Amino acid sequence: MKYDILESSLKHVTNHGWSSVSLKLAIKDLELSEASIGMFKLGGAEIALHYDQSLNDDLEDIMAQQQDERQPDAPEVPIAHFLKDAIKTRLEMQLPHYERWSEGLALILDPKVAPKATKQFAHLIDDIWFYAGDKSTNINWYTRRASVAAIYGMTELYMLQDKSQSFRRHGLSLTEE
Amino acid sequence: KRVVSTQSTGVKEVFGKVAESYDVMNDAMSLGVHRLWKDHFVKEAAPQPTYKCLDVAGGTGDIAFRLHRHMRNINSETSDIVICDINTEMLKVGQNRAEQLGINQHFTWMEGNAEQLDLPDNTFDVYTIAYGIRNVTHIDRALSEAYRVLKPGGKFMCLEFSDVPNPVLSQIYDRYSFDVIPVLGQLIAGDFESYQYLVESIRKFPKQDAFADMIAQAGFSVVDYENLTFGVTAIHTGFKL
Repeated sequence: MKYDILESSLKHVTNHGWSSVSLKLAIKDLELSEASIGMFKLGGAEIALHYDQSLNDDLEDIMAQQQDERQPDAPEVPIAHFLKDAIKTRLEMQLPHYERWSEGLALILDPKVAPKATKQFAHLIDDIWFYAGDKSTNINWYTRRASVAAIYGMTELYMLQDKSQSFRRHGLSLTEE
Repeated sequence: KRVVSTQSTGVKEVFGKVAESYDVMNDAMSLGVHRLWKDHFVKEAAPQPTYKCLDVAGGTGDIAFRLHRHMRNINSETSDIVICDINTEMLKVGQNRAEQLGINQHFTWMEGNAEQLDLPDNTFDVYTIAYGIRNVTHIDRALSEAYRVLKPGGKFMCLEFSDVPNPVLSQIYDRYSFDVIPVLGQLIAGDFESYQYLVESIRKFPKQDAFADMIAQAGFSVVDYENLTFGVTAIHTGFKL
């Protein structure tokens, strides 16, 4: 049910941001007591976290489906290629809330919220690597995660500042390394 | 070493005896800290002026008056607060205090049993019970009733004595509880046994996690608790979803 309120809040984010106003409007939409806002100890930041997680879940579904649909004798996708696609796909999912996402990102980096946000992000990177075909358990595990995290982070920040629609350009250049 | 108090002393009678000196005893027992606990509790409840609040076992009005004040600070138009208690003596004390403060028009006082509330379903935004639920014979029934009368999305909040996990502190706390409090009861209220009963009921009450489970069993979601003063008191919350 908490999920339902957060989902409903997304409708209001464009007009009211990642805030308790959006939460309250969602609560009203669902005809619940206003007292239920007490569930959201981190306030509007919870909407941002929820949004972030739901996009991560969507990406995982896509990657899992792609894996299911792959022909057994099809050639292996080069890892760099896979990573580029995954990151690009994931970042493009944020387009609907593009205008407000930089606010959302700032909110989830707040010290109170950051631990949850970091955990979600780490899971995302792990998932991407898993589907990329990485089965390593040695020290490379850490360096690979750090490198993808860094690439993702830089690309996202670049994207948030980029006013044009041509995201493909910088997505390509950064992940070819 | 511990004298077992007579089981026949019903809750109603106990509170009938202690009603008059209830406030004084609370101050003496907790060295005034109960006021801070209650202030914090109401701040956590954060009732908005439009909320319909029900305070159960709130006879003398401590929580209800604070709820009202909180709402009043936001807006001069406030919803009425319903106070329910099993004991008419406690309710009388509360009503008198409200009259003296000139705020009695904002409260509805009703005699009733937490296990079977004479109130309709889906009515309240907030249900509070402070230092009352440990005296209920069937806690699960009180929790079910709380669930029933709350609106969907409504908040359940309970302030109650709980378990002090720290072994050093709990020893000190035990000695204070069993050796000092009943004696204070005798000196201030002229009643040793009632306060011995109170102290024992605190020990019998489920610990924080166990109580949280009971709240979840009643149907509440997002159940959580917060310890105050190392666990001497705890605030449990849950939402009807």
